[in-house]
Amino acid sequence: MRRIALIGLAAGFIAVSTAVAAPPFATRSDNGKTLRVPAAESSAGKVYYALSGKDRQIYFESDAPLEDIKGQSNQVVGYAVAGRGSDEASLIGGEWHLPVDSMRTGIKLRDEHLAGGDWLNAKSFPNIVFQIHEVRDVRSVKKTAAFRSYSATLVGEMTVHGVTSPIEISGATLTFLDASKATASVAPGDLLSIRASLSVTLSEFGISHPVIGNKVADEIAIDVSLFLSTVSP
Amino acid sequence: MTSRKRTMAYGVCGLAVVASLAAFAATGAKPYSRHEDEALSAMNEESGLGDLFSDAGDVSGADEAAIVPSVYAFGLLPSGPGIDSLSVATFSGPAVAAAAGLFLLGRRKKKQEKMPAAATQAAAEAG
Repeated sequence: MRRIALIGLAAGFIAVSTAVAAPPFATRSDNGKTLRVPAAESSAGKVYYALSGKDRQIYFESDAPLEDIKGQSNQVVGYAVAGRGSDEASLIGGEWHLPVDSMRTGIKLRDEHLAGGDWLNAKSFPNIVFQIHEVRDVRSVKKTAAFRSYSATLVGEMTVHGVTSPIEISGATLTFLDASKATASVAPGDLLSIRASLSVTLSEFGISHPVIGNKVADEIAIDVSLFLSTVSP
Repeated sequence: MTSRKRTMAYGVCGLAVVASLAAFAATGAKPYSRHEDEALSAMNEESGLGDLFSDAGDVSGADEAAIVPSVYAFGLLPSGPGIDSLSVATFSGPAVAAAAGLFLLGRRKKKQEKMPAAATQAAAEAG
């Protein structure tokens, strides 16, 4: 009887810890081109949606002694909720999903390995997820009639390979561009550009492989360049 | 094999090695062979969004030049099966192996030709 109770307790603990380890993620919209914005966030600020499928959004580089690997993707979907009025750079929230199998390194077999079970395991963990919870150290950099640019620290969580880790990205640039005749010819709505550089450590996210350290670096440098619009794709 | 044929064979092997090294150098001297990728080409096309922001005065992305090019390269090593297996190693490797084999065979034959001559000389000296 005691054994059954202990097993039940262990199972419950595992279930709870699994639920805590994987934060609830936003789901895709009906057309699959963006994410559903939680009602609490969308009502608190101005929603900008990532413009996917156009310019390169993510660029990553692994600089190891035996090999240099570069890759990129333009399939990031997601949103950012800007603050109201002059507090626009203090994002209320945001979430972006990068499909693992959308990353391209220029070599087909390498792309398959990257998404395979030995590495990012796209089958079990189809997306790399970044969620913003807070923006700190907001500083106005440049302001003209056409746009407002800020530097800030983005604070949130990153989930890679099923492992969630807190992350802080300093020196991010947020640039707001209001809709005009010039912008309408390229993309509808008010526009937002988010640029940031960060690095992630593969071992921190439970990714291990014998070649890490000689052919693949443990620390991967990432450049983020997102363009978002108030018009949902 | 006559020496003329052997020389011609060495020439063909040498040509294969030189041609593969020339292709390697001409296509960017990449470590692995690669081909154009449609998805990469699409990503590298400018949609005008970057220009909108830079035209407005945002230069935060102005020095952003890192992209993954979508190009063909005849690399030092193969990068996969099929057409991706064409590389300096897979093209000139067999040529170098063939040339080495011919050389070793040639030396063995010379050795065998020398041995009967040496045996005849030894018999003559003994007699």
